[in-house]
Amino acid sequence: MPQCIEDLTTASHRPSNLFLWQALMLVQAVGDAASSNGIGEQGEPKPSPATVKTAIDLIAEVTPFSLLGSPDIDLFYGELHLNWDKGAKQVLLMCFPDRDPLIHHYLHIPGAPSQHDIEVATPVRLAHWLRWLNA
Amino acid sequence: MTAVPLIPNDRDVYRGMRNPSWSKRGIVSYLAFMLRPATDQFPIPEQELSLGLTVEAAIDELREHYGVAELSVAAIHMLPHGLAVRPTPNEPLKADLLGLPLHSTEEHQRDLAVTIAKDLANVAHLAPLSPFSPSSQ
Repeated sequence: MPQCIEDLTTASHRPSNLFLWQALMLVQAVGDAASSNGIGEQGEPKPSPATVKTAIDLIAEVTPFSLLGSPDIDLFYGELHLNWDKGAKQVLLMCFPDRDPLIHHYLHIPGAPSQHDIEVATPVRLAHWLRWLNA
Repeated sequence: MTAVPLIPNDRDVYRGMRNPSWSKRGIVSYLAFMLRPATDQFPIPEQELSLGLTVEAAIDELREHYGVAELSVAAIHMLPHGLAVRPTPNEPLKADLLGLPLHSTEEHQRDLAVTIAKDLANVAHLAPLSPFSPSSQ
């Protein structure tokens, strides 16, 4: 797995060692969460290897790695969810067993309807919404 | 046929947390408010969310739990999603949250489901548990 990230790193956007290390830790955490016996309900299907690969491939291609931070990683009936949360904003990457992954972005506005939308996930769009999260 | 009345807005309702991922760092997660799809163990997908009218009623059917989320009925009814909290028939201490989108991976339905779940999480907080609550962790 580390080779995948290294291969995608070009001189023009080579991350510092810290961000590369964080990205590797995130990839490791996704794999660990998906294989954990301690998360989820009894009888809840775990994400398939293909679903986990989808998530890892997506986050490995997000540049710069510094955008990735430390999302919450959750399982949801065979789906893999990565949720980034900053103040009133949230970005949720959902990887499914049987369809393209989706990004849901959400802005909570007290006393007014929240602003939200959803779109098919690509590394470029995930990077876009993670920049929005941190803006 | 008479419609089942709404639970009054001055009441609170409680969601038993049957999954450890339903709260993070003391904050209720949107996952606590997503309807469950059909599974081998539960072949019929959830169509409403089960709530208790007391903390104890929210967890009394759970083999184990990870806390209880408390929500004001008024806050639920004021969300712009047309949700309704109604008594569960023949279960005096239970209520159902109706109006959530059924489980789907279709984009529009999933957008709605996640948005409503996040809006609900924003009006929920973890309720203090009595040390004598059944199966208290």
